[in-house]
Amino acid sequence: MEQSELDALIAAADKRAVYVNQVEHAKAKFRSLNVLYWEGHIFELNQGFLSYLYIKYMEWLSTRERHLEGKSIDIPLEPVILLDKNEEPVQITDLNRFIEEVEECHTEALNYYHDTYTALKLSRTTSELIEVG
Amino acid sequence: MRGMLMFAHNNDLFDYGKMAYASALSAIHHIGKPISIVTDHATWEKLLSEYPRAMFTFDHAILIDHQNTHQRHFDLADGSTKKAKYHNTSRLDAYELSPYDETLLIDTDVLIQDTSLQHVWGSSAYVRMNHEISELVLGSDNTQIKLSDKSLTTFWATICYFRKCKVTEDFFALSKYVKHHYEYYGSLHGFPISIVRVDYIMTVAAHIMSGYVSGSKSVVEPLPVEDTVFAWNRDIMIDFDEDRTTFLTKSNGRPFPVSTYRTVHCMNKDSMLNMADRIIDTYAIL
Repeated sequence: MEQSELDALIAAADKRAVYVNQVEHAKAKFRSLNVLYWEGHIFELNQGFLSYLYIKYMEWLSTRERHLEGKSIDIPLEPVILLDKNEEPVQITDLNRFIEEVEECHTEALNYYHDTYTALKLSRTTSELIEVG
Repeated sequence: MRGMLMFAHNNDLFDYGKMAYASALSAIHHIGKPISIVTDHATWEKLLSEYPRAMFTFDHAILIDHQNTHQRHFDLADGSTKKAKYHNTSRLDAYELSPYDETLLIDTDVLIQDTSLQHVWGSSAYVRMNHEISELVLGSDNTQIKLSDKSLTTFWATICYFRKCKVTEDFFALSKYVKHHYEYYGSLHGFPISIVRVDYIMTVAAHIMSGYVSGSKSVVEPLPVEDTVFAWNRDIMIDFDEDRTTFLTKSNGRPFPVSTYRTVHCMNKDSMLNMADRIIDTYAIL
């Protein structure tokens, strides 16, 4: 197909429909990036999981701090157990490293999505829309 | 030892060796493991004469005589179709031929555009294949396709992970048994038998081995990203850049360009071959 013919076909496309579809493709890529693989388990870093994780982390930090201060406390400092994507329980022995990897993975995925979404929104033509990425 | 494996046999219509080379470069770039090719002398020699660097791209070149040639129609980029020979069933020998303990078997018409498959290694599963697909014009949900209306959900052998063990060995042995009785299983499950399709064979074998259950109880589990993007024969590849492939398709009777940022299975081999040199050049400089 000649380039001029191709350009004419692209120009004839419904720009709004192409925009909506490209956003969906960016979202699909975001979902594929927004996953943590941890010791053979898969964690989808959706907002519900992240909220629960940070609550457990705060509890764990607070308990650890009291243990370190040598205060008398009945609650033992135990590893956190989380449910993975397949609802299998996973004991997280190194919670600090887990949190670091979650943050790195989620931030990278969000940055990708934000950059792509912004570029799509700013695209003025169908040709520009399909060149984003 | 972990690595990837491809099968490529040229026919009168398509240069599968060249397609495998382009696809292999994308796979090495994103997955970062060695890749081997199973091919025949003629395909390998043609590839090396045109792309001498392919010698260093592939970890091993495993030369075999292709078997069980049959004919099928292929869609071309201009919308026409042509009939040509098709050599695909040697893929069922992947278990014996693979030099790796853990293998990622990839079709030559797959362009790897993300790193999700890096997470397949060290898997607890024996075999991993997806049965969900998504299309370029995204609808509401991902799709599962059945062998026929009330039959088994298809597993797509397009990208298949397996680790060497007794269960996987049995899975491949059973697949060969199904191939040997293709006509019977075709009539049992209602799929066309005019073309011997590895997807159908492995689907039947996977369901038999799993006792006809799916999900977490199945012998075959999904890949890290559970749906594979399919660009159908009607979707023509028109542009390629690192991590982005653009297709021209149709929606509601109007032309519809789509760029995908994920790994994609390009059914229209003619249009992928038209873009192969650009793919090779892109990854050669990275």
